[in-house]
Amino acid sequence: MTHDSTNEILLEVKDLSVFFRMRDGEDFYAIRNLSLNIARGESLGVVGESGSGKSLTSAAIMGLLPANADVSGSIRFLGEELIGAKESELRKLRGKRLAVIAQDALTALNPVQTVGKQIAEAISVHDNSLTRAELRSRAVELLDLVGISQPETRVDSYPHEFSGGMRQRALIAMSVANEPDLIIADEPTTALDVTVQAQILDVLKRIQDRTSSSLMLITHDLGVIAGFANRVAVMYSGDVIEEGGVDSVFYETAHPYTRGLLGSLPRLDARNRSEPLYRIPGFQPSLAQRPEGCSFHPRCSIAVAGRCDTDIPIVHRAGPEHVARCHLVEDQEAN
Amino acid sequence: MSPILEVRDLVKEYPVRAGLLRRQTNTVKAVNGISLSLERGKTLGLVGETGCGKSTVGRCLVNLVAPTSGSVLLDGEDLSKMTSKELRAARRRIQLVFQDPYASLDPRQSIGSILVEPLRLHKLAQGQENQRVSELADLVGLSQSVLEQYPHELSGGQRQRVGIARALALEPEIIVLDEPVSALDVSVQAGVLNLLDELQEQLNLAYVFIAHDLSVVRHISHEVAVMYMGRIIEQVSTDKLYETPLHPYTKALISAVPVPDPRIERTRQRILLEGDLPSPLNLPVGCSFRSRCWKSTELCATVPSLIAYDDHGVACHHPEKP
Amino acid sequence: MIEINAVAQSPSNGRSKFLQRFLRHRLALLGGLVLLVLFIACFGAPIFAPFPRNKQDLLLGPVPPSLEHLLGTDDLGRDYFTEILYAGQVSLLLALSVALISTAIGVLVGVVAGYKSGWVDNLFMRITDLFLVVPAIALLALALQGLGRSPFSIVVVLSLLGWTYIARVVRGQVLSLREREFIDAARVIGAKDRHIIWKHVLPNLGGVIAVNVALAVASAIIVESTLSFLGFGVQPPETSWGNMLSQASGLIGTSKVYLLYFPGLFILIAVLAVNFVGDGLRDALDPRSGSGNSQGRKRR
Repeated sequence: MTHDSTNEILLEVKDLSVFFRMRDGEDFYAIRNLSLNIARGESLGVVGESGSGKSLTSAAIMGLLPANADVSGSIRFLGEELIGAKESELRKLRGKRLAVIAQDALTALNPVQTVGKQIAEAISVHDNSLTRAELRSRAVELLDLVGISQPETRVDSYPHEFSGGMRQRALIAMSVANEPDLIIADEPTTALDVTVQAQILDVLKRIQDRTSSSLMLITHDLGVIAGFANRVAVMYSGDVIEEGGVDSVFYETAHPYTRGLLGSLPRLDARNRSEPLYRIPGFQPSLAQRPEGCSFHPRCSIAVAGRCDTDIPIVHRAGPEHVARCHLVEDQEAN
Repeated sequence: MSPILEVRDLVKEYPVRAGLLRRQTNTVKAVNGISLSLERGKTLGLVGETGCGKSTVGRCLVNLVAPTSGSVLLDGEDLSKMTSKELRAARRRIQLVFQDPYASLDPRQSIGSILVEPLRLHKLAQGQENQRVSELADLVGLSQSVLEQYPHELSGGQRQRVGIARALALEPEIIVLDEPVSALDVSVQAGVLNLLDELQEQLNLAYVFIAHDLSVVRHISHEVAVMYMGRIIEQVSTDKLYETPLHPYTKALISAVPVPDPRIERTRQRILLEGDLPSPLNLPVGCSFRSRCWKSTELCATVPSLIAYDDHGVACHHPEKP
Repeated sequence: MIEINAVAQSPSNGRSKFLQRFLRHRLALLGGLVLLVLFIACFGAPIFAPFPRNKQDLLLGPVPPSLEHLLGTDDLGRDYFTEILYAGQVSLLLALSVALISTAIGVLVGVVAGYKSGWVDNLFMRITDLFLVVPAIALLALALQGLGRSPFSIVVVLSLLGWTYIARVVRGQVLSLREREFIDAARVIGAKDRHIIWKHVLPNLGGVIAVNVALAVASAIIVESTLSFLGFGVQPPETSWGNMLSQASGLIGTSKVYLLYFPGLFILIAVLAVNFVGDGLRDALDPRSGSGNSQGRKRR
């Protein structure tokens, strides 16, 4: 949507909708007409609060939605359509060209297998031509790449012998073992201390530089996005309500929700007790119970009656490479 | 004006048991000699990463956990020397707000009954309980209809407000808040932080604000103490800490915090610490930070004591020049 | 795997959710209905029984089921259906009493052991182990020899031996409950242990206790029947399903075998019904089958 057209588009999500069929008959659209793209080598930050649908989106891309979810629209990865693709085809992509880094490294790693074996397995599942020695040395290489000291001995350790930060690094090593084109990292640092978080983000950056993979970083932390992403997609109640280059979204914010979010953050660099924080009134509606019209309108200070409460806003251009789903942005465009 | 809360050399040890007979092989010093003081109506921020002991300090302050040694003084009176009756009375003066808004509320009690419980236990507002409970709900910005509901029907922000209301029920002078907003979404967090500010002004409350989020702590605290592996390694008024940190760990910690501002993020100098937190069972001899500190020398084999440079306390043999 | 429940709100209150889930469990409903019918039939025997109790008809003798005698008659010409209903009073009442008393003892022991921990816990648990290790039926038989075999002493003895399972279960629950923050919260506002146990621990055990009472009833029916069958339980002139079984024990292969089947059938139906109800209660109390997380919650 907001791309430099010379850069190859790796992932193209168009009008993605996820519909849940519930046992009690209260079916609903969790995600409606969501579109986003990721180009080669770029980092897209997907930011939203809990219940905004950001994890559902990544699950949809990976084909890991529960059985009662109906997916429609299009998700094209490297030109191939993922929706409706056979599980065997998806399995070929997962772990090889499309990798996921989970949030909780402790449960994502097998406690009864050494880290080295798990990395080796991640490789051999897609390419069983390598010998055990080759796999092992590749595992050592990867552990070194993610900054684990003494990788030759660590490769034989078990996950519980690693600290939280090291486990997350090991998980990253597993995910990038096959040099994927796209890495989806779902809240990779949320459970970590801030100094460890800085280390992990640094690892991710280094890997990106080395392999020129693209990264889709899903998080609720706008600070992490500001430091890491080239582009940002802000999600609210199942929609991408603003998307653009990171500078545009942070400095020329177009959507009132994004503005409210940025205003409610206590800043590390703000003097103590300088101002009360801005509080967006109300609560984010659950995906099952969205209001009519723009899902943000009940909380919006500039909502226009008769418009924002009845019509769902379409995507409008807010600037070069910058779009937002807001009726008032359309008015600006027109002027 | 003497401080309303004072902590002197607080130590909390936990035995480590191993082997078939669960014999004690070692001790872990979760809190290794902390001293603090808090003035009426002010907020002391207590920050640190996992395992630094800040939560344990919080629990010692409200006597949920008995300290191994050291003293907690409420307006000059030592908690450890109190009889159980005096302790019960002391509970009216210092209360705790928990981190997990869901786990800290009894799932089988209605909000109204959760709020009336402290009143009944201490025989307050007898005959006017319902009125007082209504007042409490108002005070924290909850609508009256919430009183009939159960915890699982409320949002995270609402539950946390209930936790705050419960702490206020006994009309304390000090509230210890253990990560009160960590489990909340950003926009909800702002509301709770603003509420805490208002309440402090209205009721002249003193807060001990325990958190790991440095941006939040900067916003709300008058003074900040940084903990590492059970010790306070730096302590000073808030702006001074963030603008001129003296301890290398504090510097590294502050530099690691992301700021929602792309230009600042691009031009920042980040200090990346080597390695991980040492295991509490295997602390380095002397300064516990030396294994990760770029300034460490042989001098660091002795534990540095907290020395004040003009009200700015730092425990380091090689502090930054103030 | 994405939790859909984390997305939808659950507006109803805890109690009605429980009822909702229980009612979805059809076997439990069926079981409950059957139990209700059994109880009404047995305790309302003076009204429902086709014949008066213990009405002998020696001239008639044992007769297989017919329209007049639905379940036939026994050796003394008594209507079997009537006898079974009256015997049911003893079996069911005994089972219920044993279940309630043993649950009460077990909950007491479990709560004190779990909450106090330390040496109290150790002591109580070793006592529990002792009771568990002893071969129950043998001990029961011996005890009953000594105490006489009135229904009252049977209840006492069975209760004293039946509390151990629930004590264990309750202790486990209390151990985990004790670590929950709302218990800490109660201590911080100044609640004493007794208050915490009464107001916070016990209500949160309600589910576990309910399930266990149901299962204890089932097990008590079987134990009583076994004892009576072996001759150690209820003695004539009192009748229970167990000793009706005992009196008919030699009849396999004869034409009077129905005297054996019918009491057995009633035992089977009662135990199954109680088990289904227990299953339903257990499922209804499973927190995972219903209300989910709420909004405003950051994942950590």
